[in-house]
Amino acid sequence: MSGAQGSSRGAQRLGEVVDRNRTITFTFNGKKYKGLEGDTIISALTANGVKIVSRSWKYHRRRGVMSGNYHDPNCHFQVNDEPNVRGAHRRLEEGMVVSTQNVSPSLKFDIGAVNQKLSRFLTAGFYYKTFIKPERLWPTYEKVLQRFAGGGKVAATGHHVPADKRYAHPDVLVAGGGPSGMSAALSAADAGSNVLLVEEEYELGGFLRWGTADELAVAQSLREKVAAHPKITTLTNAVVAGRYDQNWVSVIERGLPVVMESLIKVRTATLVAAPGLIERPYVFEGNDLPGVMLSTAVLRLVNLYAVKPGERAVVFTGNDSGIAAAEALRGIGVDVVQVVDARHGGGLVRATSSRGVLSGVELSDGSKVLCDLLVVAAGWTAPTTLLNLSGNHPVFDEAGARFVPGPDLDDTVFATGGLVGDGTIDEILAHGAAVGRQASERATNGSVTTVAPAFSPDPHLPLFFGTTKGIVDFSEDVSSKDLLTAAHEGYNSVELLKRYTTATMGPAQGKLETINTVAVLASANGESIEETGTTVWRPPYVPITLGALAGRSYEPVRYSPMQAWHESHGGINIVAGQWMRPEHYGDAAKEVSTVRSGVGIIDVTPLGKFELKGTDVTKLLNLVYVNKWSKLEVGAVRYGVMCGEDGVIFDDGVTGHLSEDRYFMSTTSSGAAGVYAHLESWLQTGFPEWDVTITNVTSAYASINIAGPQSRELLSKLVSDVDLSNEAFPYMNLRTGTIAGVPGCHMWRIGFTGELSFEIHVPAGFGAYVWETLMEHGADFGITPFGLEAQRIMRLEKGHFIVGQDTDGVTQGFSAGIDWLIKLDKDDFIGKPELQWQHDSGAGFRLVGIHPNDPKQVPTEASQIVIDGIIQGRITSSRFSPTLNRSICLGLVVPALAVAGTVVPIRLPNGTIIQGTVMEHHASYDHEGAKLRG
Amino acid sequence: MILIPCPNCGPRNSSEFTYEGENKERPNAATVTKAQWRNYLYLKNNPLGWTTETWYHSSGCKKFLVAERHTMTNEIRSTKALGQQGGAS
Amino acid sequence: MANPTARSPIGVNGSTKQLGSWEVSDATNSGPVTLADVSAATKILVVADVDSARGAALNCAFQSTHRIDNALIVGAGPGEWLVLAPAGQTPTVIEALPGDIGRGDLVDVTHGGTLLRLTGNDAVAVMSRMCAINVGLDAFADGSAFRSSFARLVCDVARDDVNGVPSYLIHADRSSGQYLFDSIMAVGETFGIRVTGYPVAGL
Repeated sequence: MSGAQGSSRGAQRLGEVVDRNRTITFTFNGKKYKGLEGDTIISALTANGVKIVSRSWKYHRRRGVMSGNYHDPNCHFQVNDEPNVRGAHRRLEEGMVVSTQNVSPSLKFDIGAVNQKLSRFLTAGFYYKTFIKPERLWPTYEKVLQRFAGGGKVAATGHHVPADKRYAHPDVLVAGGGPSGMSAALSAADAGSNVLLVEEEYELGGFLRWGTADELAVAQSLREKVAAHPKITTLTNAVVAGRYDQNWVSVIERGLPVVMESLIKVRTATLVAAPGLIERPYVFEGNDLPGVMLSTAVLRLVNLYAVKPGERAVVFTGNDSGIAAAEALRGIGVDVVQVVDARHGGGLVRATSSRGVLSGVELSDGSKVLCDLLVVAAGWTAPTTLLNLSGNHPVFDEAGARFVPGPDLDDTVFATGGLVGDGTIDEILAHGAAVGRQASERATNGSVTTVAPAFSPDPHLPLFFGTTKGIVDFSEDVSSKDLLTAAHEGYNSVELLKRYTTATMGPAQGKLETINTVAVLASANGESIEETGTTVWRPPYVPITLGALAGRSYEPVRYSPMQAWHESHGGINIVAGQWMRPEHYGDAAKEVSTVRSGVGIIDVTPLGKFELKGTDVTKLLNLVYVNKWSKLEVGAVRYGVMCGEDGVIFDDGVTGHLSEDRYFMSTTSSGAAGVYAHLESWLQTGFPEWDVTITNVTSAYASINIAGPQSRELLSKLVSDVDLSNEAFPYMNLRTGTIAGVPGCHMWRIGFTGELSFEIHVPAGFGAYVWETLMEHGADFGITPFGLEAQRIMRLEKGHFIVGQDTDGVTQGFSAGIDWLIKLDKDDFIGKPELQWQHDSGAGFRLVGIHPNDPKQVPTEASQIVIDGIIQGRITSSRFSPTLNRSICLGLVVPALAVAGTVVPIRLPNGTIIQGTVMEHHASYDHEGAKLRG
Repeated sequence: MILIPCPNCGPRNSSEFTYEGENKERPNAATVTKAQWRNYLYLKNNPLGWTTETWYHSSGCKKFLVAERHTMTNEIRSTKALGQQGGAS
Repeated sequence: MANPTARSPIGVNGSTKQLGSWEVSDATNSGPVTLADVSAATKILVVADVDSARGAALNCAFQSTHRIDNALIVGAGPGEWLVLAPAGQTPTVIEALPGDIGRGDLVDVTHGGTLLRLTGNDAVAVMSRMCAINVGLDAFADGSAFRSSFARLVCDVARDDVNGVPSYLIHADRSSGQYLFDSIMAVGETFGIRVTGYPVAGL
């Protein structure tokens, strides 16, 4: 059966696209076959007489070629390690390993076919009926459903396909490269617009490609004009997947070298939808048997690939496409035994099978005809997706028996070709040309003066389903019987029916089955198709690989100038915002003790840094900080806290006064962008008259904190133009000078560690040089580099809070123990009303130092303090202090507990309760600050 | 992805901007009541129709702008630059 | 004490030369698209009212570029200019600017930024993969500039053709320099991108 052999390649066809001199060898389900260059997988298999190419999704019914195009739900294959390859679209390549998906153990004997016998249990809504209870079986259900889904296998190892993404900005995007689309593209380009023409097939031409000699000549002439036009860019084997606000259009380009699929994000002034028509299947018993094909599938196989899809054919048709298919079949030597024309009263009852493939048909006149090919031409579906995505509501054209674009079309979106109507080639080209001009006019000057000729569907019989029941949705294996059952169960609106039965939800995404679904439902409801309406079309137009959707991802990373040194000296990285920083260099506790007894240096480059210049800087500082800035002398620095209008702390840092109208502000690490936007917001929207210019110099300086009792000695080895003595350069001051020969360095006497320390800001290009020089000269002092962890331990010993660690999104100023800092007697500042009210009410948690009573216990950060079943606080920071040889914490507690000596129960994540004592100070180390002032 | 016509840079993807919210007058901090202040902080009108709001062109000119936008259609019928010309990086 | 050495945020793969205090790559490569690290270039940020004497002296509109002597002036923002000059050189235009005229500022941001030059006939293909701005050769002509999201960074981009070949200067925050360089190299792989050294012309 599936292996029926012998070539069924016929004589040369006028429009054939295969190269008979180039043979390609491939395997299908392990067996070797030969095809020709230019073949699709399906044309090659058909040429080899292979009729059964897959098993259906749910009932595992044998399936063969049906629509013969990209959307054919029966032709999804595993190709090498790529799943879900569209076999009626993908071109054959030498050595391709093609196999059927969704079968076990083989296509010939598929154990899943037992589902056919169980079909009465797998009827409409079977997911909902079957896989609901008990809940404990959900994991099992998931496995069962995964096997049902059977979508091929992704390679488990190694195979990374790089994704690509780009942007394009045409004036006019034409979706569809058939005659109307090419005509529209040419006229828009002639009118001066840059045009992007996107075609799903490998070649422009649309239905002309499998047409008559005249049609082939028209296609060739259009193709040549398009190729020669400098203002048209053509993408073949590409598809417009979606359209979003203001013509933001996604295009997927396939089959590129290196990348499998590429996403193009297109912003186009106007969009022309010219997707042509999709032939719809007809619903009758046996309509999914291998051997039952749509007329366009037959026309493609015969006229493009010179392949005989059968030996004895019956044609059932309601239009000229069936007649054309019959002619093509006769031309290649297929015996067309009967043409049943519905326009002349002919009718089809059912198709019958033998050994799982078509063996004959039963007609409405009672006759039975033996055949191995049944060609069905029941009518057309206009794929209105792109228009629907532009807000258009399709309307049902009764006479033409298909949905057409509604009148409410966005004025930057146009439609032409089969989507709009039928006509002669000349009429199609004329409509396309007019619409192309309109699109160009709208793109250029906004007003459209060209009038498009009248264009509407030809009358067509409403052929949707016959007198017997058959498959409606081939992707999801949903039959007309299932739909009727669902309608009887009350799922009688089209959107409900869709979700209940999964009709239209498979890979074909409604393009083949929506109209028949609606027609069956309309008959069940006893209403018209127009009354029943259609489902909402959503992007993407066709399934897309996840890789293409992901595109190329950009994830910015920031490094300090000293990062290379850290990495080559054992620094273990931690991600802090976008920054990569060393967490430690092997032993954080040792780093702490070295700093406390000697000297260490830490890279603090991520600290936000701004230069503020102007006569009104102090006004800005007074506005954004809770404390006062008017009397900060030149050469001095001051700590400040910023709150939001809700009184919640959002940043802190130190700002220094460099010269008369120049200040240098530092913010929290990674906080620069947020603070910059905050400051600019107030300057631009609140006080544009203030003279303040802010320059973000965060990255312009490499920042290094030199900490420890020997830090002055070390720095003085490298600085000659600044007196570093305590008298000349006291705590909370800044100086500018030369360090290690690098001029223009800022030196601040501040620190987070509690030791005597100097924070230096060095022009970033020299950062690594200065760092290396410090390490070199510090060797005599036993210097250590220290990382974020050692700094966190030391700042906790010193009791400094970290915004975002010891405060959260509701921590107002008075909760952080900065009562001394908040100056409510200032006229106004950001957050003042809320802080005034917090001050008056005393509400909110209070930050306190907490020592666990067992000095060896380090409660996990975020451990809760629960009393009488109510959360009364939590640990915000905790570490084992190598300096004090005990565990230390900061925590937020309710005011009643914020009294020194109070013992609080701390509930660890495992449920254990330990006791901790609230301390008098946040600092556990040198709370007087004698050391850093030394 | 809607386009926002930046008065400085021209039309740009909305992903370049930070939404700052509906425009509201900051009450006088010296005389404001709690109810007025929290209305200012937390209550939005969120009309179906035209609204006046502030956007920050964070990935472009770094200027704040006021836009009149229709909340249903996303049409922006006017934008206006804020602040002085020449005050930022 | 030895002379201090300044380094770009982008690591050099190969031999280097000294350019003033800066250590730069001395490679020379050509191809359909090349990328050069010119982070050592002098970069000065000028903020001033557009119609002030200082603004007028720069003679460069927002979103365009203008050459004066050894400097390329980029209209980076409304009332904001990025003045670029070869490494170690103070742009003559800056020396000639009217002094402190009140509102605004003039800051040497040489050390705060990374500057890359992407050159070649395929450069535009690389550009169209990095940002959503229309960088078509006509739409974004020589002498134009924009600031936008580029590889998800905020970058100043200026088109500054070299001998008639499309060329782009891309300026970003220094800390993201290596990331930006790596991102462009990854995108350029398809086009055979090659790294070349600090340009002889100096910018």
